[in-house]
Amino acid sequence: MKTIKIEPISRLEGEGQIIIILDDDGKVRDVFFEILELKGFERFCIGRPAEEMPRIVTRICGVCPWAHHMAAGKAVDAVFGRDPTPVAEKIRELAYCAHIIDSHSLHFYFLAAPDFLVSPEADKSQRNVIYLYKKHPEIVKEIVKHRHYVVKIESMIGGKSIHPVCCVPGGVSKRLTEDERKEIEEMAKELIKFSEKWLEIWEKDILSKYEDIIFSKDIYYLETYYMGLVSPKDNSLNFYDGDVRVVDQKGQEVFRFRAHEYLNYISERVEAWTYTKFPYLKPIGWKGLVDGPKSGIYRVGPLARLNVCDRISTEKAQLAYEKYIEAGGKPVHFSMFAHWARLIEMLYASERILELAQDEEITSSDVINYEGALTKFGVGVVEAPRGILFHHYETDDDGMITLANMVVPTTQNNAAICMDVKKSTEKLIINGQISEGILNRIEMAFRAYDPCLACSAHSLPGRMPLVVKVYNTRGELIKELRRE
Amino acid sequence: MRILVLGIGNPILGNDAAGILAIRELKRMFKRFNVNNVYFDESSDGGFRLAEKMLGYDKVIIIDTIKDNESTEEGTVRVIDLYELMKKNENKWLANPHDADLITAMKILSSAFKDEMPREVIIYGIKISSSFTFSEQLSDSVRNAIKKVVKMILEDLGVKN
Repeated sequence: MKTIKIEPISRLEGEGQIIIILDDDGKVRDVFFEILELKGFERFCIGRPAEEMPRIVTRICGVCPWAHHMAAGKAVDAVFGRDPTPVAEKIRELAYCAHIIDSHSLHFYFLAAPDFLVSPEADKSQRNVIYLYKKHPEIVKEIVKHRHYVVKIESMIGGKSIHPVCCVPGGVSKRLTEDERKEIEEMAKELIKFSEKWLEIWEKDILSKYEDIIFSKDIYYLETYYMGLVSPKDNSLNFYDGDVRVVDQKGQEVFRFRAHEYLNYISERVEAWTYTKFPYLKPIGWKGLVDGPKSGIYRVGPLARLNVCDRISTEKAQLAYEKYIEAGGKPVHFSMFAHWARLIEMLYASERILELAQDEEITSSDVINYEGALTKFGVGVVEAPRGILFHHYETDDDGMITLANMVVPTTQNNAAICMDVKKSTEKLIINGQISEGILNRIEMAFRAYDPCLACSAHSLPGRMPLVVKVYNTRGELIKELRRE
Repeated sequence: MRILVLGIGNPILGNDAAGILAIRELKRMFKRFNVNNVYFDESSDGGFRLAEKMLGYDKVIIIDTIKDNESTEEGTVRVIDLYELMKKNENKWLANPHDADLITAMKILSSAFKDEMPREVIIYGIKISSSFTFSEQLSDSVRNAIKKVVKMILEDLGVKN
């Protein structure tokens, strides 16, 4: 029996790896996707003033600091018993929509798009954004220009683009000026046009060309439950707030709850072979790494969000959503649809920024509520770019943290990633033969989830080699492929 | 000439905070000097987000922690010319699941925004061992390296302490 290890090693090594076990005939026997997490964050928080949490948690992750900042901010609102003012909620949502575009655009344009616009089978020297730039320089220049817009919006509101400091208990630390509002309004109009253009590229140049990958039921396909936030009044897509809704494999609502009730619905399975836990739906139960209605495994993220919502509140994104449902059904179980969903979400986020920038009270100075009493308990929830994110804090009588618990998206998708990677390796690896194209198709299985491998650490040069290791049954390394 | 001095790292991940702490010390020291063309910033990011920060400056000095395969000890300081590093790098692939690596991002931005990119990017790298535990404690060797880097950068910028 052979063991093949694919290790994505980030700036500090060892954050994640894929282990593929082959039997003596070269067939895939088992696959494990393992995330090695940074340690001790919850312990680091204990004893600190609760109001510091929104600033501290941005350092958990350099990829989605805004999501942690917002979830922490909302949890801290609850700890201090302060409901944010309506204006503060709008400013927060506006900045958060900018962050969704920031994150999705990095992932789709620079990482996922070359797979499709070049080719999954292309040589590694071509399947990247540099080659894309050589082929389509104007497209890449436009991407960079529009990314600059969202970074600017984040900086205006957050104080800093990457590690925001704006959320304070009961609101935000500063108002939006009229000049800033006007600038955001103009940038939002450009972002809408740009998002529409990319949806056209998806439909014309990608969807029809890669039907075998995107609509495949053999690989990149799971029938799981889905969890995400929806607006309480109309079940529309909402990144910032709402009810947590769970739908089943047929798209029917099975659970609906508020953030503070999350422990009644989510439980975590511990497996001997990994430090990473496997969250599952508590009322359904754990049946192992399998999909279907009897297994409590659920997915979060763009695919899940468009499965749990009934509609999108903005006009252009709603039309795009209708096309998406028409192509994939409802719910969509094709994992590769997550890329399409990201593009629709970018359009929605752009339209929502425009709506909020045109809101009459957005420049009001009523941005913080100072009234409230310490409750010592708070759970904050947002839709992080990669899926729903819970922050749960408890404090002592002085407001010092006694408990901090976070349920993060990639952990919630852990079981599904394992299953999707297993499916793809079983289908693609025959007689133990692994080509560059096969390796990339396996990578595509987990790239669809945009998994977050504890990226808060920083050491140059900031790259992530892939190492494939083949072992024999005695654990001896017999083959090593390294890509860097 | 506009100069950006950028500290990179995670302030709550042990020795990985070195770049951030160095930049804070430099910023504090610079208040004594009458210099108005040097800007300071800190970041816990990489790839495109980091490269985008460099647009509009003539020179960028980065302070970061590094790992290498050489037998040097923790706290060793290496001075790296990023453009020289880019010449050696073949950049055949991207596997970071969220962002491009810094060299790729620099290549793209250098092609697309040639006039806005700095002419010189120097990295002061402080060697550290792996750090996976959240903490605000640094090792003595890394603390000493921060002092050394601060002194080197003051010399680089032509100011005397």
